[in-house]
Amino acid sequence: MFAIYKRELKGYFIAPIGYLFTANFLAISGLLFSICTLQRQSESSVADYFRYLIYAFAILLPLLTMKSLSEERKTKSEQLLMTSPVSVGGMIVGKYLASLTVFAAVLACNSLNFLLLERYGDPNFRLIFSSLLCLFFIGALFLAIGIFFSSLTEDTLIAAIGSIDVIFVMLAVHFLSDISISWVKKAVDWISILARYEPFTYGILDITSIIYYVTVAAVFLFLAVRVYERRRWA
Amino acid sequence: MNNDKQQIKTRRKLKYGTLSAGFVVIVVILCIAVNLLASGLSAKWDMRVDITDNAARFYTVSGATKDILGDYFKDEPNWKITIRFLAPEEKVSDEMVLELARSYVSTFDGHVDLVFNDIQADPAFAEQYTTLTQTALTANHVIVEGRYHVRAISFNAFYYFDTESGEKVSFTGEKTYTAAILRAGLKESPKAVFTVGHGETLDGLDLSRLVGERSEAIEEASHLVPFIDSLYDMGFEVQAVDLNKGEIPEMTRLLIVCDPKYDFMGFDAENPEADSEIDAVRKYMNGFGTSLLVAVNSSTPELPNLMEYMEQEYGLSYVPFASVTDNDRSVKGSGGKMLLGSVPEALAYSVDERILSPFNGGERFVFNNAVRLTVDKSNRVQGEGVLMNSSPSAVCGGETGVYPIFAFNSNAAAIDNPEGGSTENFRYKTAYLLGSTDFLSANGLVSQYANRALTESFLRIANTVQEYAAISDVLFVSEALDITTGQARLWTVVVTFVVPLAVFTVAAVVWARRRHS
Repeated sequence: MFAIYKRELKGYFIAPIGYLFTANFLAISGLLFSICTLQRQSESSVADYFRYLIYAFAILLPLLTMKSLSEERKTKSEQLLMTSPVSVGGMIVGKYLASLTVFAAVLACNSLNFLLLERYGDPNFRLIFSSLLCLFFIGALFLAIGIFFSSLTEDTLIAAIGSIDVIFVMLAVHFLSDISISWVKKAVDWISILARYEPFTYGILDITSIIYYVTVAAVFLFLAVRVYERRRWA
Repeated sequence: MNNDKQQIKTRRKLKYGTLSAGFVVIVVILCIAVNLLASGLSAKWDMRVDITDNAARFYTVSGATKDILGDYFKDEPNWKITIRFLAPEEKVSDEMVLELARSYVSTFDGHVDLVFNDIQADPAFAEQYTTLTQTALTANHVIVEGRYHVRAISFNAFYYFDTESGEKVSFTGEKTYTAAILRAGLKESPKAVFTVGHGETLDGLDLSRLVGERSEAIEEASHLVPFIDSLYDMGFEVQAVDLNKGEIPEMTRLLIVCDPKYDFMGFDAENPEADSEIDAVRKYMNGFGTSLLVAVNSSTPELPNLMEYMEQEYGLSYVPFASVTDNDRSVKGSGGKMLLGSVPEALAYSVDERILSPFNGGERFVFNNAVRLTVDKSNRVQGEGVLMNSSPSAVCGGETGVYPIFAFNSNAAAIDNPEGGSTENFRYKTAYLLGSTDFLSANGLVSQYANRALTESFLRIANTVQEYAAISDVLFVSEALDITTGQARLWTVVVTFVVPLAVFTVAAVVWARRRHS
């Protein structure tokens, strides 16, 4: 698994994909950061920035994972992987962890922007930390969805668009919480990614939300493993 | 061999056959089960970690509250407090107030319960609490119920607002909840005590008849009955005390000096060791007392001792016989004596804000036989303010101007520690000087004017134990940036273009090298 992880991680930076992802991530995130904080000056709102960033993740993160498995399939190199002495689960998790590492590294670099807030204001770094932590877990979930869709097709574009669609549906579920039927609202709040993110915005690390993000990510990774297991023995 | 084949077959079936679909279902169910279990555990044990500021956390009950309430709950293990929201849990609009309530429930497990009632679905439910608040109860109120008392608190009361910008400055939630729980759990009713022995309204009457139910309130002071009714309505037990003969009872929250004709006894040079009446009032205000109301009018003679105390301690006084009249803006047929009061535009302290919050400026308040008050603005004393002014057309001593007719002074003071030594407990002490005794009379309270509403609002504040024990307000960190437009533009270019462009350049180099390698 570690060999797959290393190979995949190296792959991100040997080819331009890793740099392009980083550049686009930093550009979009920087723009949102400027709009929500620097440009607003006295009405700066880091909470708004984080909220918009989640929507940006919905588009950016599938771009990182779209190639992970579909490209292997397209170039037939997956045969090599299938016959290698690593389990399918190990292969999927290795690729997933590589994309997660890239994402975490870019998120960390991106966080240097907050030094600007320190220079011109008095930011609450505890709230920033809790929001960033939650964003990391949300990103981890989105990457798992991306890996799953990448396992389904050899067309990277379809993998990306499929992931983006599913992620947007998962985000849009939140807007159903205005429904007055209480059990529907309760169910929506329970599954809504955004509703579970709320406590983090005011400085509460909600362990149940973290468990939710991790388990749902695990389900998507499991599904990806099932897809490959099926193909391996078909 | 055959057996091995069978095993492989089974394994393959397991991996990608019907059983594989079953596996997926099992994993999804497992995922749901884990999350349901986590939610269930979260309801029993708090699975949230509050990482807000260490010194004073938004959603965590501090050590000060644990000390105070812990002692009470230890002494009375059966003491139960209910924190009641008037909306379903998912519709409570203030997450911070709700979150802190959850924290009280988990901290004082078994003593504090959290209940949700939807008053939109059941409007009749709120009716049982109508005497608690002047404005109608809404889903933006929380009710703290104890065995003896009930407190209704608006969500806004959990915050301190900047008077100029209206922005939230700090979260006072812990202070508010702890005070409300203490208040709701107090066994004895708070007392409103009238002084007698100085020709006051109740002087010479059978004081024993004041004690007890409202129906026994003395009829001889009929013009004060509406005020006494209001005192009962607001949960006070009404008593009277002659300071020369008895002591101010404990649990007195409001000491009322209504229309005195003679002065209070001050320092007696012949008997310097004896406690004077002024000493008794001072002791009350420095000790367990919270509020003092002195009501005078344009016929009140000079009261040197009482006014020296009011002036020295609170910066409040009156000019004897200096009647304030208003021919232009007064009640018709009153000859200008019954003038209309107006709410001051700038409210300076939380007391006046809280008392006057139910009023929008359109109400009219009448003050008959008003006397000119003086409020020391020299900064010699702190915390003084005005609740009600005359209109600008009011006249006093031939001069037209705005005259205060209901003033106050409010400050937080350390409570005496009965065991000696220093204490970190504080209580708000508020002295009121009312320039019209008729304001409290039947003429004022039972009329189309807003006197009764103002009186009840004032009594509600006086009845509130404004006590806290070193519980800090949690300041909101302002996110405002002190940045010029030019700097904002410069940094926007840097974070949006320059940094990503640098990374993009690396990408281009990598791509070019790969192409030529």
